[in-house]
Amino acid sequence: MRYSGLRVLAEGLRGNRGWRPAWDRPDPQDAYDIVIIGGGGHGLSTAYYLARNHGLRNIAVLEKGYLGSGNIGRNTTIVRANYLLPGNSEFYSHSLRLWEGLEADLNYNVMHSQRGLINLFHSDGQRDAFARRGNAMINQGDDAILLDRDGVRDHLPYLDFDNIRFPVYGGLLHPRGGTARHDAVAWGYARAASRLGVHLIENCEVTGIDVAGGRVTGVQTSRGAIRAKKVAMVVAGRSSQVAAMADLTLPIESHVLQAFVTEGLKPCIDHVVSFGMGHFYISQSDKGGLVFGGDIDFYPSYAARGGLHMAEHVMEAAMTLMPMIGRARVLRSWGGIMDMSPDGSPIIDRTPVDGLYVNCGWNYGGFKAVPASGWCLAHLMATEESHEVARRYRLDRFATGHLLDEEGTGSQHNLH
Amino acid sequence: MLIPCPLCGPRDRREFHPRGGAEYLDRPDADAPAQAWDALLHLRTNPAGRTQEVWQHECCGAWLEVDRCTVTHRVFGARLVSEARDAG
Amino acid sequence: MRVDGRGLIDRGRPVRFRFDGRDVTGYAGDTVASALVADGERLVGRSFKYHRPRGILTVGPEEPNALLEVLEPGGQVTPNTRATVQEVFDGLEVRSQNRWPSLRHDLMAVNDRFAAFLGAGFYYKTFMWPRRFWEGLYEPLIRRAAGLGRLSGKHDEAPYERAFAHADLLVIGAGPAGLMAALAAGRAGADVILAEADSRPGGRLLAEDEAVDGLPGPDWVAGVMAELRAMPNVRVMLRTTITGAYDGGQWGALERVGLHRAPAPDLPRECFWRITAPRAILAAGALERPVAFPDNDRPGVMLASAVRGYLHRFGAVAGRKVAVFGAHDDAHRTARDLVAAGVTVTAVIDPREDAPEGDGYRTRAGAVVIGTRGRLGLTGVRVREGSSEFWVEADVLAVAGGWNPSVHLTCHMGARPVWDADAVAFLPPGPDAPGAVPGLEAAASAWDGRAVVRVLAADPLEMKRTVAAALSVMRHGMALPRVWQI
Repeated sequence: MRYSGLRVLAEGLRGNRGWRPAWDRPDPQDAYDIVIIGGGGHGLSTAYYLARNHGLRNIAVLEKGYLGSGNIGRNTTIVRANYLLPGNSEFYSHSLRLWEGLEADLNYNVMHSQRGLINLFHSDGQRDAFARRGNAMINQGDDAILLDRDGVRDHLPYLDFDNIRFPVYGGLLHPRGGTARHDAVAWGYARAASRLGVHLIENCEVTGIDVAGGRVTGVQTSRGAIRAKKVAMVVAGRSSQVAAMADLTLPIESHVLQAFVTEGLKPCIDHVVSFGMGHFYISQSDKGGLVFGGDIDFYPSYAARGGLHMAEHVMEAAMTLMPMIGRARVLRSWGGIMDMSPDGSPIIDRTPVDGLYVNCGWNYGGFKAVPASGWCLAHLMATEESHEVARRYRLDRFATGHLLDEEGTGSQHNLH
Repeated sequence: MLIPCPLCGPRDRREFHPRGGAEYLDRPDADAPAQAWDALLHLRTNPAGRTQEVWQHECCGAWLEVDRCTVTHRVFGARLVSEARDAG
Repeated sequence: MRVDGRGLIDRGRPVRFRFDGRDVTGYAGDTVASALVADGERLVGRSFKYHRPRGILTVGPEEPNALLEVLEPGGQVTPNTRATVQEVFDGLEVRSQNRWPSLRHDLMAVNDRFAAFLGAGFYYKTFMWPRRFWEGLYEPLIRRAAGLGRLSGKHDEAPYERAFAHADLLVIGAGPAGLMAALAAGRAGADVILAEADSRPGGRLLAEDEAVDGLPGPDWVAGVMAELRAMPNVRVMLRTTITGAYDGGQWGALERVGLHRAPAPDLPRECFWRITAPRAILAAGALERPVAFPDNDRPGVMLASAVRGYLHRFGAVAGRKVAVFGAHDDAHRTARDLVAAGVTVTAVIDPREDAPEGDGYRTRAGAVVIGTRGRLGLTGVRVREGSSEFWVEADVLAVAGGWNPSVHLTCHMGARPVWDADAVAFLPPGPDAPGAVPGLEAAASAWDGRAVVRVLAADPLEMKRTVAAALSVMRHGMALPRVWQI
């Protein structure tokens, strides 16, 4: 069933009785060509592009909970391509181009909104750093505009420009940056993948990975054994546990990242705004809630809930930057498990086990990567060649010294 | 989260800086191959459950091995890294 | 309207405030909601999406409809303020939100007419073509329609406080169970913090016509409070909501320090507390459930617990003719209380075939409400009884759908509430459940699926159980080493 305004009208006139489930719910088969472990954004987009770009059909996505129940279901929804380092720049640039055609491709409105993203700077050094980053973005073919104070004021009049400690000196505007409706991304990929014959299997937890003679042969699950020629681990914060089932140790540490949303408000923040001094970023959802977040809680954690210390820190950053927010009321907060890598950049690669692939290390930034991440992992699994925009996301880059340390903080997982 | 610093007593988590899993303390020999250094710097067992971690108490400067659960955040105890090393 | 001789408000101290530019007079002790109920104002808001007229549903912080903007001189605005929580003071100005041009005539209500085309998630299926219309046209329209109240855009320069507190035991909720827990622990010598979100301790005892130990509920509360206040080891924190359970026995708490008074330069609006307490008792009571039937959201449809609450605590009734709908005895308790106060009860609609006969009102046994009428305010209730259908006149419909224990805090670390078929409610997870909040125990009354007060007040054994639970918790608590020596 194709979605369109006409369809909404026609169904409305017929009492909305004609709608069909957005995706099928088949029982698992005994065997698939490809099994994707993880029914989040990255797993679903991988399955979709395997089917769409490479014509593969015998694919299953195994999800231990419900589709989109992990970080894709609760994040700060920012979509941007403002990276500095070669390796990251082309990947996120590719992802942003996929975002720009995503509604038409998926026939699903994921509400990708290019409202503009402004990174604020508050010191001379930061001004230089952002000017340099802006040039890197332009060289990559993306857009960047360096704003002075008045330029920022035109866009964000509500900021505390003369904050005694963090005065606003200017900002780097990335006009094509913005947000998307996070759940809709999972649902849109799920529906599109299902339409191409991918089996989406929920409540199916992988409990073991079968390896024979150095080659993956299938997985054990809470719904029985499933044979597979190729298996991909796309499980974000749970990467270390799943990889351990194949006796692999990953360069990943799991940390909790909190996000917050206020009660619904009439439009007041039009852009995505990030604070250059505290780690704080904010946008307003179409529903009206102010969606914001900050740093990880800093200690390894698998508890999907945040600590009070970081919640307070994020609120303080919000009040420092935009004191108008004091009259908004936080509705809820949530903690997700982030797969932090030693250099802050992701991994899309084969593993030492033949036929077993890994997609992890998304740190804070997995949401905007969803289209390109699936695109590139699908390319790798289908062709056995790394996609050109993801060829630096190798698992062995830490051993060989080819790190992609965007923040320049060194090999410590919790500092990225 | 309260961490019992052996020198200062139980103190709020905000006084401490986490450095990751205690495997970081198992430094290879100086002439160990590059692979061993890669493992030290980058690879993590990253367990979901009770584990040993390295934290620094910023107030007294002591490096601690903290016995903690990464699922519940319960802290079972802490000892000085030097003591942990002596104990083997 | 006000009912003579009822309520805990101070009728000697009238308070004037403004609602949507209109002067309203309440009394000290009123909330905005109770003053509006007494004033006969039933329409207070619009629903989020279809802009359907909405009235006050509850008498507490769980209020979903009566969300207002509080206006300050100088143009500062606080949106989404619960009328049921905001206390009145002289000069207070509140305004309805999410309507244009006015609450009574809201043009966005046109959405309700096109509801067939605006079903759940319709926006995922359309607005995709042409592509550039999303940012340019569709999304701005959606954003303008969405949201509730508005921020002023002005810097919030009001003072706020931040503070820390430590105790052996945190008691959450100062209803009968919380009061008894605090009393038991306080007498045992423990350092106790008793936190209550309301401006006044007592919980449902303020909202019901109940006697405890032979005293009217509020008098019994006053006696317990006098003893608690005299204990140097007990700190009572009113207007303080426990907002979260965190690691290491830490609790977030938000105190409304100055929100019930006119703003002043040196008066903090709120104080955020970080409370450290190794043990806590959750005595947050229960919230009444509404009942699902067509048009159950009209202004005038209220929870039965709210109707009783406005009557007993504020001496206010939202209408002259009240119908009651519910399948358990709280429906009849509501009718009895109203009749005793001289209010006309047009019918109690009770789906049970063996529903009790009313004394002073008519019971419609085996009947159900299948609809309502009155767009800006209820005028009648459609009832089906056997094979016949008819209208019952009513400007208020009290609905009693059973109780949901306030288990929220017990789930803050990932534990799931447990469905109990006998209680017909989700109960708190046990203390050993995965993800249970360490040190937190739910008091008996809080998880009893039936009306909290009735259980506690009518059954002295239950009261003893609560005290025993408090003492047992305290024994564990006292065995723990004191982390902070002050």
